[in-house]
Amino acid sequence: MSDFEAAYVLWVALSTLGVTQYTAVSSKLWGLVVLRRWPGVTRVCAAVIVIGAFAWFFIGEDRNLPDTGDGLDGVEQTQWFAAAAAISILLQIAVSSVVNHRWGASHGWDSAAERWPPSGLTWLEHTTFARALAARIRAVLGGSR
Amino acid sequence: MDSAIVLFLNAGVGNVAPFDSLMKVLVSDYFVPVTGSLALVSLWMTGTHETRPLNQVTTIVAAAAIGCANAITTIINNVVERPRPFVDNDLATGLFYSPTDPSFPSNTASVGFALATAVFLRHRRLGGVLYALAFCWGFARVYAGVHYPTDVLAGAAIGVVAALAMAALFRVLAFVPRYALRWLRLLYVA
Repeated sequence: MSDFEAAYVLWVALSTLGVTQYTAVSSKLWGLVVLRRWPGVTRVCAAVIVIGAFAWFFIGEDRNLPDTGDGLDGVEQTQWFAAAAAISILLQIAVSSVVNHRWGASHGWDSAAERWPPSGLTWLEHTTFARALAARIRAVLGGSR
Repeated sequence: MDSAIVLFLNAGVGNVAPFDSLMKVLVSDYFVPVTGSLALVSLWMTGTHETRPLNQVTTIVAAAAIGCANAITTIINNVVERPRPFVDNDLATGLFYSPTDPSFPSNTASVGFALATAVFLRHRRLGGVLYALAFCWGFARVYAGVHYPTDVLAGAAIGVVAALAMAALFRVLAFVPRYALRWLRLLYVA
């Protein structure tokens, strides 16, 4: 990985972190929010991270490098964006699931009442990703339970 | 006419340093694509239980529209092979590197307008912001002397048509994203 590719990946990963946390708060997906108890702080931090990442990437260094040389062509840019965004989102899922693990316990799915846990991102309004996925896996493995 | 507009706009390069700095960011290969992609990431998560699936279909349509616009532009690029403005004119080229691929039509405009149109069909405000970004991207390319205005206009037209075509296609094949989203919902990623 070249220095430019590393800078691009870091920029995208940080921006994705900010955008994802801001959107999670706005859409009330509390299971994805790392600072769940402080939505206002999360919004401010998310905005600062996004603006800071853009400023860091563009200010100070000339980023207009030839896409046939040290820069990235369309395909490379798509691949690096997908990788950086995926890593950023996976890290957020892991950290938010660990930080909010107690909260998820009291807002989880009642397996005795329903056979299948609720599906979709909307369920992350009530529990963490790890808890939701674990309930899903248990339901699938449990079969007819 | 095309060359006259490029010469007129490009004559401004070097006169107002802050404006040139702004143009240097806007003309970049990275600012608008990454901003647009982040908007799609946000759109994917935004909404309620009822509206989120529609936003996610919009995201899928936008991604397909970008791919379609890019493919059409690449095919036309190879057929028309118009040289870049800085090849035929004496222009200030300090804002951007000198691309070696053909000028007509503008790939940046086609991608920017495809994304903006696909989003605008469902979200007027976000789509409007993306249209503004696509316009600024196209303007910056002409200002920097790497595209003629007609390159940008043709690219924009390709982008709009590609987005409308993909939106119509996904209306006919609505079961495809619906089926994909149903599986993704089981994994809590949609």
